[in-house]
Formats: sequence, C-alpha cells, structure tokens
Amino acid sequence: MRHFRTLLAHELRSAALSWNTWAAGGLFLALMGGIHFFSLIEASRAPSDRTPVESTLWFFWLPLLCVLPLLTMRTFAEERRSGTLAALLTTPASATAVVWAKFLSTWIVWVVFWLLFTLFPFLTVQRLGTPGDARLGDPSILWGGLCFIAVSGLLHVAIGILCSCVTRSSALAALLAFICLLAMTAAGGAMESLPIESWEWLGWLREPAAHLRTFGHLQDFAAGILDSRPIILYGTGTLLCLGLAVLSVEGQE
Amino acid sequence: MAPIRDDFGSVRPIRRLNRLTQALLAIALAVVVNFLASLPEFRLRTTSLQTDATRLRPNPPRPSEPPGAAAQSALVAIKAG
Repeated sequence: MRHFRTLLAHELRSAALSWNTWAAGGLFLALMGGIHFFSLIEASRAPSDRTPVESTLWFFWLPLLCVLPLLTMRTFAEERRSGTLAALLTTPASATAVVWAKFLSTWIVWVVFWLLFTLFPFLTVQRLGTPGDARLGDPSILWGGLCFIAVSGLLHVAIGILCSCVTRSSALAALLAFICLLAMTAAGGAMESLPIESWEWLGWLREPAAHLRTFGHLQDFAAGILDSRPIILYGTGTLLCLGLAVLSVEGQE
Repeated sequence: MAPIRDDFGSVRPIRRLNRLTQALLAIALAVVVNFLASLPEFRLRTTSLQTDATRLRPNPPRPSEPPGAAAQSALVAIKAG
C-alpha cells in the first residue's frame, strides 16, 4: 500500500507536469465548450425535449473517443519503449501497484476534466439564466450525468490502460483504445439493431443488448435512476481489464 | 560457444499456460456475472405488481369539507352513540 501511494503521487505529479495532459485538457475543453455553445443555440431556436446540458452530455462519446486515448496511450507503451518499465518492476513495488497507480491517476485526470466542464453551464446560468428557472443549467441532470461519466470512466480508462500494456507504440495504443471504446459504446445499440424479433435463435441477445446500452445508462443516471446493473457492468469490466493488464505487465518482466 | 542453459525452460510454458488460464477464467467470470445481471428474473420483484399498485393507490378524493367538520361529525356521533 505504501508503494501504491508513492506511485500514485508520482503519477499525479507527472500528469500535472506533462504537456500531453495540458494539451488533452485544452482539446477537451474546446470540444465540450463548442458542443455546449451549439446546444444553447439549438435550444434557443426551437422547443426541445432536452435541456442544453442534457444535449451536451449526449455527446460524451466524442471526448471519450478523441481525448481519453491521448491520456491512456502513454501510460505503459511509452515506459516500455524507453525501457523504464523494466527498471520500475525491479523495485519492491508489485506490478499490481504499478497498474492501479497509473489507472487511478488517469481516472482522476479524466474526472477533473469533466469537473472543469461544469464551468460552462455555471457561466451560462450566471450570464443568461433567469432566477427560479433551472432549465438552462439543470443541476440534477448535470451531476447525474457526471456520476455516469465517473462510473463508466472506470471501465473506459481501464480499457485504455490495457491497450497501452499490449504494445510498445503509443500511437498504436491510442488506436487500439479508440477501437475498443467505440465498440464498447456502440455494442448495445448495434446488438439492438439486429433483427432479434424475426430471428428466433437471436432471442437470447435481447437482454445482453439492453445491458450494454451505454446511452440508456446515461439517460438513467441523468434522470436520477441508480440501477445496479450498469454499476456491475462497469465494476466487473474494470476489474477484468486491470487484471489482464497486470498479467500482461507480469509477462513482460 | 555453447548456448546458455535455461534451467527453467521446462517450467516456463506451464507458467505461461497458467497466465492464459487465469485470463480466460477472469473473462468467463465477468461474462457470466454480467449475463446473470442482465437476466430479467433477477430484477423483477417477487411480489406481484398488481398488489403493489393496489397498496400504493392514492386515497379516493373526498368532497371538500370546512375545517373542523370532521371533528364536529365525530363529536355528534359520540353524543348519539
């Protein structure tokens, strides 16, 4: 545990001093600021079922696919390429502590990015909002959506870490993470679009397809429904990916 | 020059196989847990929804009464009885 804390502090310090993190943060805020701006413009044009914050959160997959691979790609691939991972594994710190420290620091950076995003709705309410009308920056939807980002982010970051473990090239790790995250986000929708009703032998896919519906999870969290199923999905997925990452790192010793 | 003798050469494949077995077991466990979690039998309540709906049904609407009317009618009933 002592090694884990030291490693985590080191990883957080490295992330704070790395230009890569700042560039990813700038890209993230520019992307989300742009999306929020256009959501506000769209909401001002015509009545809509969704609030601007909800419309913005609906595009969570865009930074997930574009920014998160930038954060995770260097965690292990860069260390393997430069040879510092082998040196790190000769220390008393276990491979598990190394993997969990890198995972947790990346997850913290990812959550901090999303917390910075809350400045946009806050400033919008300050500038454009009317007292007593919470629709412009609906806090319940905002914090519910951020809870979803934090919980699903555990699995998404773990997938990125696993992809970084299996290759020496940072670019390849980012590409792998992009493909896996795209598959993870679109899997539920793709399975539901299969002609399950007409093909009887596909009937067993109905429930797993509903289980993997990422956008449904976001909708539930934003509505304040904390279902245990997505939490099980993201929790077990995180443990699986990190376990495989530990095995992969141990195999490279 | 003779090749360096690998004392653990015969054990290494088994260790590798063990790692693969661990990975496969972990994947199988995660799939099974999520499949069970996705099954509808695990999320439906044991009591019937009809019973719950009856229990949670709101009280029927009452005709509007002036304040204190209920107490007065109760007092009249006590005096009569």
